Amino acid sequence: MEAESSLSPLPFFFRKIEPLGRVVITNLCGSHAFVNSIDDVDNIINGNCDIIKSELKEELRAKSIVASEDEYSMRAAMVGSKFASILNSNIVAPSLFLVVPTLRCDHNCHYCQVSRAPISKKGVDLQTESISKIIDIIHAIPNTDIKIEFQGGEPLLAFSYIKEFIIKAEERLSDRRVEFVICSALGPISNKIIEWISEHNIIISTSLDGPAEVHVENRPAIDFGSYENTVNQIANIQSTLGKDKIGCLTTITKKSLSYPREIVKEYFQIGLEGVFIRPLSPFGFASQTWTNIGYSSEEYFKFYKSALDFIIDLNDERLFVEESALIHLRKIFRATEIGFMDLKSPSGYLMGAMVFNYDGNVFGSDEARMLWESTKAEELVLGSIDSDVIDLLTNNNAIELLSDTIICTSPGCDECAYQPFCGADPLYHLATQGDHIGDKSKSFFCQLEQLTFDHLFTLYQSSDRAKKVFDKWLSR
Amino acid sequence: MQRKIIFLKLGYSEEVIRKSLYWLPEGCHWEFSDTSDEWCVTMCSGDRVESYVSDLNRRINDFKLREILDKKTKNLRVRLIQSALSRVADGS
Repeated sequence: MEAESSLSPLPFFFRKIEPLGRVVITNLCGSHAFVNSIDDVDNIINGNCDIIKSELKEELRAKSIVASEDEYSMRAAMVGSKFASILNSNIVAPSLFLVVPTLRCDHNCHYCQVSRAPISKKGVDLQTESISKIIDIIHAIPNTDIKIEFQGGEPLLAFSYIKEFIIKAEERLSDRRVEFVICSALGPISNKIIEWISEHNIIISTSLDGPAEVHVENRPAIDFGSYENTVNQIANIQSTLGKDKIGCLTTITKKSLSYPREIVKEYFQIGLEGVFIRPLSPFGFASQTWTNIGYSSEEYFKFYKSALDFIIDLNDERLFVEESALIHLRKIFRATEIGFMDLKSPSGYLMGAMVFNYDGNVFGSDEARMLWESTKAEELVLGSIDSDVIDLLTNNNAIELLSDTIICTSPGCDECAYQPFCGADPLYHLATQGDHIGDKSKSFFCQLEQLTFDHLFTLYQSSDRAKKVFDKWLSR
Repeated sequence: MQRKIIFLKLGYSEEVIRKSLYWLPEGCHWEFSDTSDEWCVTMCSGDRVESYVSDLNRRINDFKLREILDKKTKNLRVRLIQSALSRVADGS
């Protein structure tokens, strides 16, 4: 029998997943494999692959983590080519356009990340003259599938603006596939508004923070019961527009941490297809109230694990998805998956989204406008609705920021095993550490991503039940 | 409680020690110094000092392996990244 030529390592990253007791190996193009111990990694690095089981050796070879001498260049070229295509797929013109018709709001959420304005405040609404200018900018960006999302404040307080915008956009963007989303806390919604919405391709996105005692504490309304109104209106929209026309997400505060099952049950009981659990973001009022409503990454993750366990149980009854987990699973199993702004390299800033603020300023992400609202730092502004689209897309500050967000070269990320699945969040690090690259060892974002990937890998590798549920979600 | 840990310079680079210290948890307090032949880490973190020492040793082992891997593959990794970036810049 001919002796097999020895195997040498191609560039790879590794990390011991403590709860799993195994080591995950990844490479630039997003392949991953597991070995039993750091000693196995040692053997791979030092060319002692002979003592590794042949099945594993074949897997490492097939995934271009090791290669024999005669195929080394070919495998390196394959990794390079796939890595380039992943990078390329993240560098795209914006297809998500956020319009902020007003900063006024009828809620008093303690964690309001946009620093809302009082309901009667003047000068915080977009004027109708802005509509054509914004649509012209969107039209000049040649994406066929686009999403236009109305954010606030409470955008329904400016419903006449939204109506006029959508009617004009439907006409001017008739050559594109456009999905409209209104992100509303559902205070000002009425049957008349719902009727108008039913005639257009509009989805409603709202926030439900769990059972009454959590929702009311997190999201009090100014002069009505926020919990009753939210659940009643969700039911109303589900029955008149259809269940697929409303999506909800929940923001976790310190108060929420004691209610993982109750929050999940709330979503399950009202017939939603899943829940999107997200931590607080340190922008706007949340940055001022963090001491009262914030938590450590470990505290949040204890909550998240408990909620996810319960969600996996609920899948015995029907398909019920935790969207944040699904986003991470897609990144692990589909390397070219894009879409979620926080997990992009280079970052999703401007590469995916553009925000038109109530004052006519244009930003590269929702977080940028949130941070601008509390800092007024001019370098966060790409331009205005009067700017030329090329000037917006080639803004010097944005390009400089983006060039530092390719995580395979970013300090603290460049040796991380999760870099092929993770992303840079420059605005988060700018807000929390005053520097867009950030000290990753002290970053809540980084700690949370590591905990999340560790946990999902652990569940996928060690629990047949969780694996079946995750596979079902992935094939949805 | 304090613990002094010595690493021979012949066995470990400064980069390996510093990267390992960088990733220690926030509550862990340490001091770093050196002599002509040794790196010296002093851990001063009360009751948890033993667990931090074991954490540090694990990280040093990992970063030492990464250093060996880097010696073998870093040039290739940099070439692959540079080539991908230039392809993106060229639009090819």
